Amino acid sequence: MSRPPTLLEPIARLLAVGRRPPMAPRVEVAAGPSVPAWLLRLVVVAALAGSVALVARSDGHWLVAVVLLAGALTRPDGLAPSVLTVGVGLLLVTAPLDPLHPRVFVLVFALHLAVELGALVGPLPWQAQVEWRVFARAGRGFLVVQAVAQTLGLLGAWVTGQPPAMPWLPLLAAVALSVLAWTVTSRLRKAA
Amino acid sequence: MSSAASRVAVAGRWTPTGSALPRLFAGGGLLVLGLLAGRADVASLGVPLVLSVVLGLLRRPATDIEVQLGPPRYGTTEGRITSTLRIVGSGGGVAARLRVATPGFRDREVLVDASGPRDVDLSVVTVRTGRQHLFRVDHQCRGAHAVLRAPMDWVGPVSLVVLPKPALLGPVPLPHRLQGLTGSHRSVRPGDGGDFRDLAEFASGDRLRRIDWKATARRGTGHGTGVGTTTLFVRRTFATADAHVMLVLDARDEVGPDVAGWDFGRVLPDESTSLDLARRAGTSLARRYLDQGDRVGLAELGRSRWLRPAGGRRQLTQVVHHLALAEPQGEPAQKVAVPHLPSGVLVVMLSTFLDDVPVDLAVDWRFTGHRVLAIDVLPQPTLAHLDPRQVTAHRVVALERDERLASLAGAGVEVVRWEHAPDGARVEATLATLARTRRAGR
Repeated sequence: MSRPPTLLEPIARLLAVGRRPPMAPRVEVAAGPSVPAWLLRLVVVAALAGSVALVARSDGHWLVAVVLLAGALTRPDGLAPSVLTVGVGLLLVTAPLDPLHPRVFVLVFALHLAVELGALVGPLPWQAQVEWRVFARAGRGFLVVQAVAQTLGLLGAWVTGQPPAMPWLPLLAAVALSVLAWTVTSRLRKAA
Repeated sequence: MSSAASRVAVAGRWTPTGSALPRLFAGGGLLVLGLLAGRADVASLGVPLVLSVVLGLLRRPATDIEVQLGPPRYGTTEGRITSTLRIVGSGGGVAARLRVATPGFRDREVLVDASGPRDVDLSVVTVRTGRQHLFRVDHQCRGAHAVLRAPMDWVGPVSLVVLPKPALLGPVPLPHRLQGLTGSHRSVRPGDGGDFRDLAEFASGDRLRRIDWKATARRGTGHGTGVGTTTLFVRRTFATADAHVMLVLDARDEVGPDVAGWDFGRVLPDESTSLDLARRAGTSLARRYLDQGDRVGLAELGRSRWLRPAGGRRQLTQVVHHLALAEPQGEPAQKVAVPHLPSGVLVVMLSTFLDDVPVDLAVDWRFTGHRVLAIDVLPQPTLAHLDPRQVTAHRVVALERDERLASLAGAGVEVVRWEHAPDGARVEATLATLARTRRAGR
């Protein structure tokens, strides 16, 4: 003779509906100390958002920025971080001239960090892990580039701050830039 | 065990990452914009983007990538299987993206430093036995500043056969009829054994050392044909014999305790499946029978391969390996080739009894005179993740199964439920009870 169902049994059965089986454990990889990829994506977005905050002057700017930030969050190695960097540059052009303002150096650091970190973690899924040693190795290259960029920024600020501007300097820089662009593009084409 | 190695001989096939060109164009655009506008602050935003891409291209990796996966190692205490991934040459890459996949486990993806040779241990913990295919590793090296990447390649998986661990068992049931002229069990025939059978008059062919002098002194004098003669009495003993046992493994299906996973065969690695229990039961029984000098064979339902009954340590090794390598082959077949059994064997059928095939075979063998032991290896089912309709369906399946087990018992097949308890105390008690059953009845 079966026992009559208690009041709690149907409720418990209802609660059990849709209850998912426990997830399988993950394979263990004994790498060194690591940081989750989702956290690095947030760092990328935070660096980009901070950069926008330094130059945005209207809600329209923020509206466009939010769309691009969402793109950077989902595809950190996509177009969004680069486009956002160009956008920050455009906003900077329209801002009053102040080449030695500290925000310029912060922008150079934050945008470079966001773009390079995005390129590093972009292909990884959210739940991936990144070993700290990767940053130690990549960090040296990052700091070298930063040192060069910040120095050039300082030099450029000093040059543009001189009233008798040297008219041949932009021309020389444009030629050098063209040669560099041609070299890099040909190398990339060869690599592809 | 096996190891694997992957060598990507593609020093010339490093390609730009998806972010390289956008960075280059964005940086170049900012530089041009800054120059045109005479704004060094704008131009300096583009410098790091262009410079990092240029440096990444200049430090183009020149050598091949070589990744090796070592043979797996099994730790018997906690069931941990470990294999070492060796990144021998990263081709000048900075980081290696690894995606490690193992059936039954969720993938793990990591970005590790690959600037020099290094070893990375991969491991899983599992209670499963049998053949395991582990650690397929997809890998891709990336150059400095994430500008260039190597082609994606893979290494592995490696394979390992985890042997079932036997439980220590006490007395076990014997077949109705013992065979052979030697062994550890008492036969019903007179012969050279240890147990006393009866006294008999000395006859031609009896050995002198078998004469029982006390019995002769007590009963022999005056019983002869003439006065003063003495009749000699000899002690007769029971002959010994051995038991022949045939393990019949039903490896056509494999289910875990979670009924929600029965449809897709999803089982967590920390749960023993029916086949794991069957392997453990078969190994334990084979070891017990072989330890007491009996002969054990193995047949697999649905497969043509089988082991003839034989004794000794070598046979135990063979039986254990056959059990470990048994695995389902596609959908469970409804018509199976009937294994040929020697006469007078004890048949031990290891099955979940979720269909009629093993039941019909067991009943047929019982009717042909074999003693048949049905070992039920279905794990204790978990219904927590089923919806009400699935619970009802499982109830129907369970009722059908109960009916099959009842019909087995009605036909004289002895049913033993193999518990997952590590000490196996209940199983041992049940087997000991069956071992006390008189063989004669036969």
